[in-house]
Amino acid sequence: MHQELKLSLETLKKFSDDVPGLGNFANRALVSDYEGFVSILYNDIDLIVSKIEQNPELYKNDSEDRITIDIINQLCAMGYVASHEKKIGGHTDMLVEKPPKTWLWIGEAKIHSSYPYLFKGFRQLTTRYTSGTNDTNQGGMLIYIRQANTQNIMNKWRDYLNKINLRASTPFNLNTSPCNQNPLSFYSIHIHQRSGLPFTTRHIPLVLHFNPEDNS
Amino acid sequence: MNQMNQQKLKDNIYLHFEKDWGKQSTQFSTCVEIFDYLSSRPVSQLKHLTLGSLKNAVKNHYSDIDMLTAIQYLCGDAIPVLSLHFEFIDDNDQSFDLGNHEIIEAKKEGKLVHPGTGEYIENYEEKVLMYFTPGILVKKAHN
Repeated sequence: MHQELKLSLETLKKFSDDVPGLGNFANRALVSDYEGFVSILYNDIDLIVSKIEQNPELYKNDSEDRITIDIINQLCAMGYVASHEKKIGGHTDMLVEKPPKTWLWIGEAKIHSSYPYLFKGFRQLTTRYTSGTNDTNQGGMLIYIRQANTQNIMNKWRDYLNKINLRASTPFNLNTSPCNQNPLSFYSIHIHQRSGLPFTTRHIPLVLHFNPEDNS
Repeated sequence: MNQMNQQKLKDNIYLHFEKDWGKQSTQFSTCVEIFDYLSSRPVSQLKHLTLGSLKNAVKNHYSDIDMLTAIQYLCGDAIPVLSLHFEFIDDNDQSFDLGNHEIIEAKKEGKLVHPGTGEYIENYEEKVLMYFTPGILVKKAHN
């Protein structure tokens, strides 16, 4: 006789490969503060990013918006209130809300072409879209990288940010630190222009280089 | 809420399912069938919904994977059709409702405090089950 499946915390783990995000299902419901919300969101974004990175050939001609919308759609399937182009100081690339709380996380997406172009995105994120107040003091840079050697590009981007900070007429006290979840990501913390409070940005690369050297 | 507004709310919920899943998808039909079941029964009869009872409610049309995909989505903030709860089932099959703080503590400590006896339960993840009640949107559709 067919035995009914009991939905235990253990069952969520067993089905986490079959249902994207299911491993985090209970954790999402247990979130009690803004930091916890962002931490679980990053786990879910990492999961989506790693799935996208498995098939870079499918994304080689996609626009910035197309890739971003794909990530947003997958977050929506997990139950997130995630949107594209919602107006908060301007049209955000990725906005994740947590009603009924006022918690917001905003992501700025850029296809990497140059470091000044990435910096333009960083400025949009930190001076236009986010307020830097308690419920919005974290954000993300999603960097779509079609060139080889993502690690090298991320190192150069981190160095670029540090140099800009030192040369700025009003230094914004930026510091960077490694990300424990993903060696290709890193965090930056700086004083937010609007709130004057520390603002944390996670810089998340998507490894999309695709140049197979076989003949098939 | 009058009948016209109730219908409007339901139409909006279906539109949301369609936007997120596409009308031809299995996930769309699963979500619609679960929502229709919940909104057609008095809330007082829906106090302890399980994966099994929801599967029966949609006449076992869908696999466990389809059901879990829909349940995760329907418990989300975007379209709160289901509300998630936790309970601990002990070795005597007795059930104890758990608050979020008890699960958070168990996850931190790696063991759960038995809500009845105060004993530590090591392999608690097999014994903590999830059940559901109607979410805000279903309650609104009822009023």
